[in-house]
Amino acid sequence: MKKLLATASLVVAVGAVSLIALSLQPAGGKAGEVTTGRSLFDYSAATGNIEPASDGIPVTARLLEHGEWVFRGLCIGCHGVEGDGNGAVWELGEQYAGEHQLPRKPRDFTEAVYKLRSTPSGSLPTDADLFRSISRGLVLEQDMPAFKFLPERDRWAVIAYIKSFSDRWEEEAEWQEDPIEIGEPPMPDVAMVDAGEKVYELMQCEQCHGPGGKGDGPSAPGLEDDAGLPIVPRDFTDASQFVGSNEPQGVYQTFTTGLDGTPMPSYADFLDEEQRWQLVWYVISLRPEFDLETARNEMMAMQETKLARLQNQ
Amino acid sequence: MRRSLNVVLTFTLALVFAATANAAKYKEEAVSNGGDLKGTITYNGVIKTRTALPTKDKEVCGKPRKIPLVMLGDGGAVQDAVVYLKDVESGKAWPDMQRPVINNIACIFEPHVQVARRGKVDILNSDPVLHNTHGYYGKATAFNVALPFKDAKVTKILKRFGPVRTDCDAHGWMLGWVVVVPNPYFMQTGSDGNYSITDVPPGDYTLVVWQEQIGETETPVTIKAGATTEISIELGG
Ligand code: HEC
Ligand code: HEC
Repeated sequence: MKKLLATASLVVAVGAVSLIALSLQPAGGKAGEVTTGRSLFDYSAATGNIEPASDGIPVTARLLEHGEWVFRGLCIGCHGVEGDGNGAVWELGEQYAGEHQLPRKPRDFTEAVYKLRSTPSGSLPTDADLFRSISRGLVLEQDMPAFKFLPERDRWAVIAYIKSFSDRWEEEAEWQEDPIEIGEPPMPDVAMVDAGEKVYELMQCEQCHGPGGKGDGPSAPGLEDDAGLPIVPRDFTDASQFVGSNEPQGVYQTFTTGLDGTPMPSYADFLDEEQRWQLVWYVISLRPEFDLETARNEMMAMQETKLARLQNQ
Repeated sequence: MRRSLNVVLTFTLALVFAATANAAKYKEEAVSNGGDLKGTITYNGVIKTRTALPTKDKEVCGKPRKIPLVMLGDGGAVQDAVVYLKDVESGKAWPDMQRPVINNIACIFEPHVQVARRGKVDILNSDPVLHNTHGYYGKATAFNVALPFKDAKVTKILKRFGPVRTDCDAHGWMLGWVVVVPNPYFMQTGSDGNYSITDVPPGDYTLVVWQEQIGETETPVTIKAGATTEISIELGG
């Protein structure tokens, strides 16, 4: 019975996922090719919110059941019925096309190791972190579509469900570390970007990412992720979306807490606030679509939207 | 369809509860009429090696070399095996244990093997190059911290029991171990391969021997009140 169900849901899932993938693929867009997103920081053209409107909803058996339904409908094609990342999209590509159809393996929820966390390296993410990742999507047009169009209840439900795949959430509850705080990013200018380059050298980011940020540092060859698959240090001059948020706060979080499950380490203990923002703007300045003018305008627009949201509350 | 959904759900919830039960904490309690356990760990088999092949920072990291994965003393005695008892619910107090330190020195983790209890660990860089100490439980990242310059220090928390392997993505050949034990009934063997575990509440337990190449070997043991039980283990493989 379980096998039958699994097979049936796989077939459904492959269909669903291809549909999602198709509908999100911009005309002529190919992985690795320059595709202009909506803006420097926001890549998905879909409507919906990335920031949760509430702190979540209480987990009940009913919510979990609803979460399973959402998971079966939208996620198993990639993440697999067992939540181990061995969904049909991952497995069948290997089987029939001789190569995986995704550049990175879908997350294995049974290990509960997450890249995108506001919490220190080695900690579980907060529910809000998961909410944002699922809403924003990861490396759009390559890894995982954005699900920000889903009703919030669906998103909280599927979060409760994917957490049920691992007992880490129970075992480590008493050791859970607090999220870091990320303040408001300063407006970028030339001096800040230049200072950031010095911080980049001081912190030896170039050992992996290379002196020009092209992902070709001396430690780059042979790196692997937790799944044992080859992984390259991000090429900052590549136009694709980051795994995390492309906003300055997102880059800040990436090198502060690290991307667990990958060689990308946490630098939480080494930089002061000013140096962090300098480094952030240096990294963002390497992106092909970057110029100071646009970045400043978008920062301004972001601040206005935020203000408007606060005023509406 | 509906029914099977419910089945899966119940199963998941059951798992969650089972996990909670497993995480039960060790209780310190006076032990009356405890027994002792001692023996020698030996190895009789092929010793594998790994290769340290510095590709960068050669002036700090040294020359290419082969490193055996089992450290043998006289008569096949195994050094750096960690011997401990599993499933002890309560017993003697933890000894005073200093916070464990993982030192990166000459691109080697020092010490290579150490035992710790759940809690904090200090990670230190004694080299003038970037290291990143990346710990794993099995294949899953336990933490990954950059140590960008000499004397950089970071404190992390070992949250779960079991062997934590450490490597360095910046120097792929580096390898070290911290074995996080669930209770104070443990010992790391020296070059004579001997271990001795004292003051164990009488009862049936599982004796675990962890060794870098061989992994975990489990042996059932019975501890008798006021007596010394001798169990020597020859690891195979
Ligand atoms: C098209 C395939 C695909 C679909 C569909 C998909 N995912 Fe993913 N997901 C991925 C891939 C690939 C990754 C890993 C990306 C990476 O590591 O950069 C991932 C990673 C994640 C992560 C981990 C983020 C982190 O911090 O590490 C979460 C959480 C997640 N997915 C949740 C979901 C949920 C919930 C759904 C269904 C609503 C879903 N995914 C649907 C492919 C998919
Ligand atoms: C030990 C190697 C290593 C070092 C040192 C390192 N990185 Fe990374 N970094 C990586 C790898 C590997 C990835 C790719 C992770 C992935 O694809 O999931 C990455 C990814 C990133 C990303 C992309 C994140 C995203 O969301 O896609 C940023 C930004 C980044 N690193 C910044 C830095 C900065 C800044 C430093 C120095 C302070 C640094 N890294 C040092 C290995 C490293």
